[in-house]
Amino acid sequence: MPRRPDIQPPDPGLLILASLSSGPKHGYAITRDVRMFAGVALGPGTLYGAIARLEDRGLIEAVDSPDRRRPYRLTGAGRRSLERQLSVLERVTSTVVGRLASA
Amino acid sequence: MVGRWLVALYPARWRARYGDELLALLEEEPVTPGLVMDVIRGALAAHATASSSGVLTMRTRTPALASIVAILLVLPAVTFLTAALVRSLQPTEYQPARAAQAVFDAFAALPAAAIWLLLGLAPLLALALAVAVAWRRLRDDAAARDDLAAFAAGWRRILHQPALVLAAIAAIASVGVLAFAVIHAIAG
Repeated sequence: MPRRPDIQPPDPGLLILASLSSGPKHGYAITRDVRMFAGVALGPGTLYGAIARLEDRGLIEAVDSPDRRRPYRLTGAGRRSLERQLSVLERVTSTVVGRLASA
Repeated sequence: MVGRWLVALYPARWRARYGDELLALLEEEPVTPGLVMDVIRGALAAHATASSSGVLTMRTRTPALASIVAILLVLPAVTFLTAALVRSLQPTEYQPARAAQAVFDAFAALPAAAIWLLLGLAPLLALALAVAVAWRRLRDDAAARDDLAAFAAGWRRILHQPALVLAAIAAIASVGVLAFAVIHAIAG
């Protein structure tokens, strides 16, 4: 999905949490998944910057792996954070869609 | 190779944790200007985070300060010798030889002790500091040792390709000659 100039891509952290909601993934699998479900191409620098921040905040954790491409999974705190963020987005979406319909 | 250079832009501690993974991802992606810019932005952000979150501790800050001091110590001597070289390349009626002559004269007017200090003692101190910083960093940082080994291996591979080396020399010489011609045309 090509990016429109008037649309800001969602926060990379939220996209990564959303991607990991279906199970552990390594960096390359996350970028493919995010491109597929959100149409956003996360660059490697953006991806690992966000992964480092999420891991630092305890929202995701690395899974032991012999592979260089280490998978990550959601922690309990990460799952709760994702649910809260989605709830806010849902409220914003339903409110604004209603306002636009009645305007 | 490009991937290794890009990963080397990150702070050592960050590389120790995520370097292999980022390199694996870079090896999967085609290198484009957008990708390079994205990684450079990520590296700058990682450095900024390291500085503001206290990850840049005294152990890493002291070598950084020592490196800056080493540069400042050797800078006057480099300036003096560059001025001496430039003023000898063309008549001093023309720029940049005229400016180089002024710089050279300013140094030459200093007392002999100050000149010995700037040209002898200061570069010696700079050399000692630089070697000490590099030795300590390489001793303490396995990722930096790996980077240096990869850098040396890359150069070894390049130097074993005579066509590439000669082409690079020709390109650098051409750029130098063209730059000299442009500067000469502008300065008259």
